[in-house]
Amino acid sequence: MKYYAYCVLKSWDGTTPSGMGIDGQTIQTLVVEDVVVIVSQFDGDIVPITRANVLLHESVVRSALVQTTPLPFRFGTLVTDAGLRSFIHTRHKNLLSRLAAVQNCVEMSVKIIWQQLSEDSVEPATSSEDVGAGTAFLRSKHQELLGNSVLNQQANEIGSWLKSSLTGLVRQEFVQVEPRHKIVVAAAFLIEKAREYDFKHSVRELQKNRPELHFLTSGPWPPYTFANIDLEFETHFGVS
Amino acid sequence: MKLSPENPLSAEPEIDTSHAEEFVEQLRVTTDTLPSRINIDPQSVEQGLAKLVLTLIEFIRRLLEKQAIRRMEGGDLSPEQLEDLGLALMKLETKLLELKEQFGLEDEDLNIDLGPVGRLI
Repeated sequence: MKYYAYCVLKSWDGTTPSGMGIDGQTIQTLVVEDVVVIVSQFDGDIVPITRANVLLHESVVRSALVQTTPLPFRFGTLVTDAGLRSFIHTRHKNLLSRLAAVQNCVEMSVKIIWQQLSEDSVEPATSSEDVGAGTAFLRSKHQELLGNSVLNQQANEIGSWLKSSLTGLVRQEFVQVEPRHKIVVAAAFLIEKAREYDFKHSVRELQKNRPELHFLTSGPWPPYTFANIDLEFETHFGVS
Repeated sequence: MKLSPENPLSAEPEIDTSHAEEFVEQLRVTTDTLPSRINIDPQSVEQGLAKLVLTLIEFIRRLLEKQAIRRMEGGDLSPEQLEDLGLALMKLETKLLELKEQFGLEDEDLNIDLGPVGRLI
């Protein structure tokens, strides 16, 4: 029998958690050294990736968010009792440091869609010369590269603008810029719970300044993006 | 306080957008490309290895292409050298396209996610 691990907490109020975990199992709290781990028992080696299971995982982690800020495990994390205790013991310092970093915080997500601004920014190459297929190929690649460079510049400008506009409100951020994708910016911000309204208000104001960009803001979430990768076990998903 | 989905403080997160359909469409595209991990099982091992090898070849091909363009910009290639280099790179690109088709791989499959560093290509 293994444990399905949901999240690690700094403290818990001592009550027995209610609600159902993965596979219909009861949710339990384990106190290991001075941290609390929320788990449920699991009989098997693989957790099926189903909508219901993902929502159950999210529901348990979210419930913990009511009391404190948890460090969520990746979905599908299975571990033995001994493995869990060894994990907490060996990564104790790092766990406490991560827990302190996310304390009283939630994660907010901001995604931005753009309309490939550079499509008409680079003039197509014109040449009156009669060149061979190889030369024409290299020239077209040159134009493509110039286009990509403009695209990168425009995309990075949006990422930097978002980041700098929200600096005063966030404790940490993770901003991913993808110039070749329609969702050009996918950002996660770690903010204090008390600043949720201010954050949402600020993002709405940013939208007014750049109506050509389409925004999606979601949250509050448990700090999935800011749970250190060291927290992950090797699971059936492969090497973490 | 008990852990319960009914607990009012564990309400669903809010989603705020005026362009829901557009985002749903784009997020579906992203979901369709998942998972990006290589599954090592007898059925998929061949495709997994092909993906890994072709990713490296594609990476090197792009480096060669950029180097060739730099030399073209620098003007240190004669018209004949430029033509030969262009033809060689064109053939390499065509060959790679054939191999990708053979293994049922798309461009995005060869763009490995390196985590915090970003994507390979």
